[in-house]
Amino acid sequence: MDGEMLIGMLTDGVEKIFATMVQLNVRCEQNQEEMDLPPKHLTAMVGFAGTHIGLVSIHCSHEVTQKICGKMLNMTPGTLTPEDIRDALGEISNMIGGVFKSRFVEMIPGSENIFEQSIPSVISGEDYATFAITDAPRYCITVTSEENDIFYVELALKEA
Amino acid sequence: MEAENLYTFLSITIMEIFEKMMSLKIHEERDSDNVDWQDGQYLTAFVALTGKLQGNIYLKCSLNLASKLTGKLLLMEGASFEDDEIRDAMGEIVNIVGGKFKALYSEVYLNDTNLIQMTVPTVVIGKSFEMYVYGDVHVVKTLLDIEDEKISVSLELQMN
Repeated sequence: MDGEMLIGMLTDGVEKIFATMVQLNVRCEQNQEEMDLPPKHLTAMVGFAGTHIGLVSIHCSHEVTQKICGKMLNMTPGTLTPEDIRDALGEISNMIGGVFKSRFVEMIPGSENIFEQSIPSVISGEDYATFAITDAPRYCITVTSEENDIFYVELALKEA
Repeated sequence: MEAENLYTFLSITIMEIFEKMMSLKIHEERDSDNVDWQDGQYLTAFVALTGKLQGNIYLKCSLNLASKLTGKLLLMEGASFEDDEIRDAMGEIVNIVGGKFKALYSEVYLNDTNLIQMTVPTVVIGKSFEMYVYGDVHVVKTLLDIEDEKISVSLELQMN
């Protein structure tokens, strides 16, 4: 699998989801450095399984999560409950995963039903780190919103 | 999907993996996760199930117990391990637990083990975090006492 192609699919998915579902324009750049996240942050992820395995995850500070989830739910940041935030971020990860999967199927001939997508998992807290236990190649993109908020989307994927 | 059957599958899985495979003496407290996890760093390892069954399987314990379980898995009891070795081992243990549960469930309900897939394991380490599965889920949980330390084994499966 070509890394540049996968990053392109992921970027397309992120930009499309944020433009259409969150009403927020974002730009994406491949990130080669460690993610710069504050101790208090959230992570939402969906996994892929089948002939290919891996995951897509989104990592945001609590402040940025409030903003993007507020945009998506048309609610004022600061008024969202923890449940609203978790559900909205989980749904965003679900949509990014779904669009990436659709792009993958379109661009890789014969890959229909190539893998299943799990329901989203959300992690919320302080001073935690997540590790995908896989030797799959990993790709990280830095996503910058039109309001200059930064978050990250990661992809790990390989043939099973 | 009956909760009692899920608990039975979980109980059999625990016996097979922790007692038989890892030769551990365990004491089980059903439906319990009554541990003060805020005392120091702890680790949660999980795999997601997709396909005919959707949800997560979790193992949650202290880093100290994770290190001991690593030694058991690698047949190197009493040894010290690097952080990545512990993460890899706990990821492998939850992968084995998930695989066993999947096999039991598939044998009873599906007659085909290929209708449920598992994603890559993920390990989360920190002092203060919570995990959530998106949507309404059945929760089946149990607490194991292993050498005076606790490990929580739980399932969160999407309701039909």
